[in-house]
Amino acid sequence: MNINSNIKYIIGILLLILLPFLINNEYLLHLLIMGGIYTLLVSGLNLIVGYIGQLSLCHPAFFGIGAYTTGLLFKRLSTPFLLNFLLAGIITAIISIGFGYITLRVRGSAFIIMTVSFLHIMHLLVLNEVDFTMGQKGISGIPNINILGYNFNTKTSYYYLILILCLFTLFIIYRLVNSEIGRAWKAIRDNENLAKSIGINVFKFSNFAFVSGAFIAGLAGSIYAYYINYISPDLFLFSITTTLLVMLIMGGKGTILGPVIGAIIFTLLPEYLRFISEWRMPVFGVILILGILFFPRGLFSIKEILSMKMKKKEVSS
Amino acid sequence: MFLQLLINGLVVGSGYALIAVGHTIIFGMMKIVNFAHGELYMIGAFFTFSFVLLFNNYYIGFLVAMVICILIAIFSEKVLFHRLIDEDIMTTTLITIGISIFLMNIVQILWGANPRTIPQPFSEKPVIIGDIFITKPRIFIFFTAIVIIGVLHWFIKYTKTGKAFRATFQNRQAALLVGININYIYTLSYTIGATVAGAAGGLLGMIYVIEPTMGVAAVGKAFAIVITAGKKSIYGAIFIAYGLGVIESLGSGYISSQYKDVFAFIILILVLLFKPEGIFGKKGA
Repeated sequence: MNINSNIKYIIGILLLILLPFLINNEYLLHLLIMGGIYTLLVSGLNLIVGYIGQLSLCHPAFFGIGAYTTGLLFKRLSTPFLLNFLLAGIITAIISIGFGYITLRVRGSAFIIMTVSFLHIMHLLVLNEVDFTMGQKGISGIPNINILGYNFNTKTSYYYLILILCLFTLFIIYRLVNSEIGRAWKAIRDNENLAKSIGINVFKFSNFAFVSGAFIAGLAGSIYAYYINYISPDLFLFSITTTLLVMLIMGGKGTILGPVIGAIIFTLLPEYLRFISEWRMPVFGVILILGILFFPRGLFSIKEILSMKMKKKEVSS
Repeated sequence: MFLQLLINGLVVGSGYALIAVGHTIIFGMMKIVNFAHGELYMIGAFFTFSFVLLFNNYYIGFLVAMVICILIAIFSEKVLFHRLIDEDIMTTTLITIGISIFLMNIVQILWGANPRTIPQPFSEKPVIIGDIFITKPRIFIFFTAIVIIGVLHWFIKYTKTGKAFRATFQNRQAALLVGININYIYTLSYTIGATVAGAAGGLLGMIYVIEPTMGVAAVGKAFAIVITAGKKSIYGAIFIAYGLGVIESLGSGYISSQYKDVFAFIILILVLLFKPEGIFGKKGA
């Protein structure tokens, strides 16, 4: 990273810090907070899908487990925010270790199907264990975050909390991806057998990516529960998986900033396409199909594709 | 009680068998993890519903709906699925998920989300043998499924196209070498698979509610069955489908009805842990 691009990032972060003063619009701020939560989710999903190359469809389950851990801890034990927040991440991570330990032995279709089964089973459990999870009714009345007496009762305060969390997470992911671990991940994605032959423990590294993603999703779920003050079994629906996939694919999988761009665009876009409200999901389906067919490396790659075509023309002429 | 549950299970199992047969054919031959397969089941049910109301006759409505299913299947194979052969598994999965969302929501917009059932042509009076009650649509579903599977068996085993189909299913390269038109076989097998799933929708819609999201649960079961049976085993898939129907029925009778959908996934996870090539699969296949 040279000085020039460093300045670009610093200016970008400064803009994000100043944003709440610039827009002065509660609803837009709400959308940006949701965009931040989606950024966390999609960045975590990106670790397993984009870097390991295994398609996981159960990511919302980890988000939901984080949210329900928080909600239940608060309801049953009234524990403070910081404890709930950390426990949400840790419990989600533990569950994902167990699940990953079983499923990451297989690749491809079997893994995909086990993840989608896991999501269904978690949904059924949350729906049916009414005594424990309150079933379809969900858990309401989760209060705002309170850290050492400071009460997060404005959108702006949540915005900064999410912003810090996102920047911190992205920084950690950036460091991970550019470390030995990240190089091992990419090796597994590009050629698993070759990776094995040079002594990379595929199972261990895949599991690490999977669990890291789940941990981030658990934390995001905890923040979501505090921010919306209400959680329901709908968090475990497959449609959330779809939304995350559209964000990841269109943003660009296997990049650091791709998930951020995808999450922000596809949080804001549907809200401003309200007039097609009932056509939103079919349009998402079509975007997913066309996105995979024409921009398999995300919308960012449009520039690349165009410049490649220009080059080809130059060469041919 | 036991016999009653067993018979109910076999009826549900015949629906699963029809869905799983098509899924095995598409999965085994085209190597496509087809998340849109459940949507064909759903579309079959909705078209049957509308045409039964239109013609005021179940049998004509069902047949017309199947013709529409065949047309949709041929169209979608030619336009989309054909391009997915040999693509990597992540690409095909994501695209079929896209198709699935698209179809599910289009149906939701056109027909509405409220659940319905297909009007059935039989009298309400159930058949009673000893202390077992069976409603007439259930008997009809069971035997129609057997007939469809029988015809499929005859086609695969005793016709020339069926022979070409088996050859392509086993080894595509070799089939190409001996001059089989595999593009034709692909279109044919996708169409058969999709239409049989549509038929399952048109049949089971008489005893279950039909709604736009019904395909999601169905495709989950189909996946569980196909992988449990072993990816390339059509007859294995049929056997497992009936078995799963019975297990679910017995499980919901004796253990818990809320968790009947979980049994399939537990079996799937156990099989993948202890016999990943499937119960009827061959090692290294």
